[in-house]
Amino acid sequence: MIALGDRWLAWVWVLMMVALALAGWIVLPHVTLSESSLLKLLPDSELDAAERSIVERVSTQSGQTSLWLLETEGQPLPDESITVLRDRLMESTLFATVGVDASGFRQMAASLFPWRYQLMPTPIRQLLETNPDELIQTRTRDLYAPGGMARASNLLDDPFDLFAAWLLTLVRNEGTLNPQTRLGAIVVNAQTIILPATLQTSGFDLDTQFRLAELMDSLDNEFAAQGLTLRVGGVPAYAAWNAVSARAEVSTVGTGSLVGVLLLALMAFRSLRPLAFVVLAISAGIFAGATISLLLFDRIHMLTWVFGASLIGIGIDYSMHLLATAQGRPDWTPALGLQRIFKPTAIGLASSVLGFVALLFTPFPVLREIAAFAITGLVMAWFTCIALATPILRNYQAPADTWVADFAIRLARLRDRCMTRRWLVIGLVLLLALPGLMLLKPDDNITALQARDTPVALDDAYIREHLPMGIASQFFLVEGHTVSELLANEAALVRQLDSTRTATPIALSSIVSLPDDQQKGVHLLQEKLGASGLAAGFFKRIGYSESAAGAEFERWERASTLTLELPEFTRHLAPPWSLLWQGCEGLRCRSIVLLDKVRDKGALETVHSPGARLVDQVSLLSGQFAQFRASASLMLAGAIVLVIVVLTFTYGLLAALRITLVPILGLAIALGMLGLTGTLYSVFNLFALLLVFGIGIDYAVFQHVNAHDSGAELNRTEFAILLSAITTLLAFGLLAVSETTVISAFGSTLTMGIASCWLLSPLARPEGAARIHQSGDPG
Amino acid sequence: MRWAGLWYVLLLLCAPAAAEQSTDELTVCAASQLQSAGSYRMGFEQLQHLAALSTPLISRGEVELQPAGSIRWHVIEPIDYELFIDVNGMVTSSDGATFDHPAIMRLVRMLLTMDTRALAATFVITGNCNDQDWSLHLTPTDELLKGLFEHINANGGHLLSGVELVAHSGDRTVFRFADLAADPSGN
Repeated sequence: MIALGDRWLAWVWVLMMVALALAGWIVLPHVTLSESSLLKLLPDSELDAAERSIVERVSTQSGQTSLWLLETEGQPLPDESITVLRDRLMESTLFATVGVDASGFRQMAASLFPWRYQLMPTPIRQLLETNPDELIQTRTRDLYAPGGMARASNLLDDPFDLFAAWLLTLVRNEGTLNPQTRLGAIVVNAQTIILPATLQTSGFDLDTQFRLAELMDSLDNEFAAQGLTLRVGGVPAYAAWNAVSARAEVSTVGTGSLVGVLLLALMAFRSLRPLAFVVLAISAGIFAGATISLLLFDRIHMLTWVFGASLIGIGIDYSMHLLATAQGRPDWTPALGLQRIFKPTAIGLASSVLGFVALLFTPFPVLREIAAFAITGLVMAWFTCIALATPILRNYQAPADTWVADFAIRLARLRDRCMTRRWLVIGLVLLLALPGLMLLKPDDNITALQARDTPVALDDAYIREHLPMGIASQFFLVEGHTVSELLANEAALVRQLDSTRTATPIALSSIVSLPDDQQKGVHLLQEKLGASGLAAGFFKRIGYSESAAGAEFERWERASTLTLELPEFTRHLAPPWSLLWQGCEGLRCRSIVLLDKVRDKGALETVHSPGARLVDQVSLLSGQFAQFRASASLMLAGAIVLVIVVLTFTYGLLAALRITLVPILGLAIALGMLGLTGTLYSVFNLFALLLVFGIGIDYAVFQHVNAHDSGAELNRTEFAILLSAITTLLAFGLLAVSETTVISAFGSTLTMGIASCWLLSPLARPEGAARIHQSGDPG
Repeated sequence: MRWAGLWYVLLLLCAPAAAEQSTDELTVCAASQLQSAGSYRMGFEQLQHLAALSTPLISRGEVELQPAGSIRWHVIEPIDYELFIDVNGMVTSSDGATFDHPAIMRLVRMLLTMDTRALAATFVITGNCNDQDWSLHLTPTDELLKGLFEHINANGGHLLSGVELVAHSGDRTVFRFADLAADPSGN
């Protein structure tokens, strides 16, 4: 039989780690170590695979495009400055394209020119049918207008300029898709240009983010020295700024907290061995959590990493409690310490794990990942503590007395004095928390997660204000049983959007006709212009040669036998039109309608058209965050009930209620403070509350279990709890000062919750239980 | 005497450099002469030499820079119609028809009003300008215009006299302007 402290446990631990390492090594080449796509947060039921792919394609395009605005005051912006900016961006090798890339458009135009008769826009077809003479008049006016030569470049092959008429259907958006450019940059005015640059990789790639941030900094300095202002916007700029900001914060806060934790541990234990033991337990937990998550899900989302890493807060408790049992006991052995902490830590672990088990059954992939990470991580951190205590802490002698222990006892004594009147304390806590709880308003909008007054947000807003075009993140997904029905549905949607002027749609139905209509257009040319003699008259007036006229009539004849099918047509399209066609699967044809210059976002949601539905990534993700929050809240409530049940079986109902009261009140205070201070309340706070509950249960269980111990033992428990609370607060509480809204919300919730749990933990003791040893000596 | 000869040679060598005027100087000089007119009405003749046609397309009419800054382009021959180009380069036609080539219209407007800022932002400009007249050689830097024209020549004095648009294909458009104020009848 294996006993606590048995070396066999250590070998089991080693085997488990080797197995995990092997499994990790095998799967590593086939998994995504850090998934940052927000779309991966969506449950499978929310979007089907095709829809997900569509959304990803659209968001990838915007996620890779950065916008560089260069501006001068007074004097026109010199060409050299634009060239320098363009060259610097190219030299950085970060970008696939720099500047307005007209090559794709030119290529599209060249490959579709032979289909000019089939591409005849509907208004031209209608004019041919009703008033063909007007078409001739319009063409004549075009030719004799100032600079009419520009409309005559294809006079020989396309005398009626049908292809230009089609090209104009592409840029129907008041010219916004065809802005004025200068050296490849979009001209805002003589002093200001905007240079678009598309990244080679995803804007969320960490290496790219840091390199981009460096480039932004160096160029900002370079142009500032010349008296020019450089602003950078777009998703990559946001991502780069956030990455650098988060790295700086994590580095500052992380270094500070690490130094603090190390100093505290050294002062408390006066040896490096306990420190190594704590670090090993936490590291093993995170390693196991990450490996199992990768094995189960093929990827780890950024959110899982953030939350998983924060489990250190719970994982550290087990080793702290074990080490505290050694304080001032010369006869201490790891086995003795394990005997003392095994049951309470096992119950604490079971309570925390129960809280996360419910997450495994939610439909949200990321919550399932977090659950798997948390459960495995906590179990491994606990098992490491149990299995490695003997080999690592053998012969360890804790100091007889330290000022840290003394401080912990004094603080706990002070706290206990305030906790003597249990019901009064509970009443006061509820009274304090209630107003804040009533004021608490959730905000799940993902745009609220980003601070609006950061330099990058202000620069981005400035650029968007000056940018003559802007394809929105929202779009309509249109379906039909056939291509014909699909285009009809699209056309109905376009009409509705045009009539309400809600947004300018970019749709396939606006740039291509069905084969029947294509044929009709060519026949109208032959009949209304050819047979009527109108074309011949026009050719004669402008001096068109007879051979050229004959060639044009022959082309009409050939075109009358050919039709341009949608898949062939879309094959030639350049961005953004190339995003529109999504193909047919059986009786399901799909396309998207992009929106340029959205004038009324609210009104978009009221647009109802057959076969069309609005896909709004921001709304989708915000809705998802709301569902996460609701699920996490339910799970927290369920965890509380489950823990009460488990604790009732172990300690009886009254004790179970007393124990769970501690984290419940801790949660109430944390939530109340969020409400009172108006701090962001979203799913990220819920994640922090889950941790608070897990940690609070640990504190309370130890207070309950050790309540009848001698004063010295109780003091050791207090020492362990305070040490654990301080280390957790040092590690994560400092995040409350972060400039990143999400991190700050996480940190402040955790700080309030853990501090409250520590303060209220004596409430878990049974009536008449021992108080802190009066001597203040932990031994 | 020998030194005087040397100075003479040096002066000759330096003369072209001294005559070289910057884009800003050229456009400001030309604009200052044109702006003295404030508003004006001119006759025009447009000859379009197109490879597709054996004879040039010729149109004649009047162009008027109105005090508000808009331009009235009145084609009288071979067909009669009017275009109005507003300060933003947007075009409306007297008969309600539209002319869909804003880049060209922006260009026409820039030249007729000698919009120095817009010209400097759109072209590399060389040429010369003195108290009497000016001539400019404009090479487009704007991607759209660069795709349309190889270069543009313009000349004038207190009014624009002529403009030549040269396309990459070799097609050319020549505008000739005549001051109608000199002949109040407009004939």
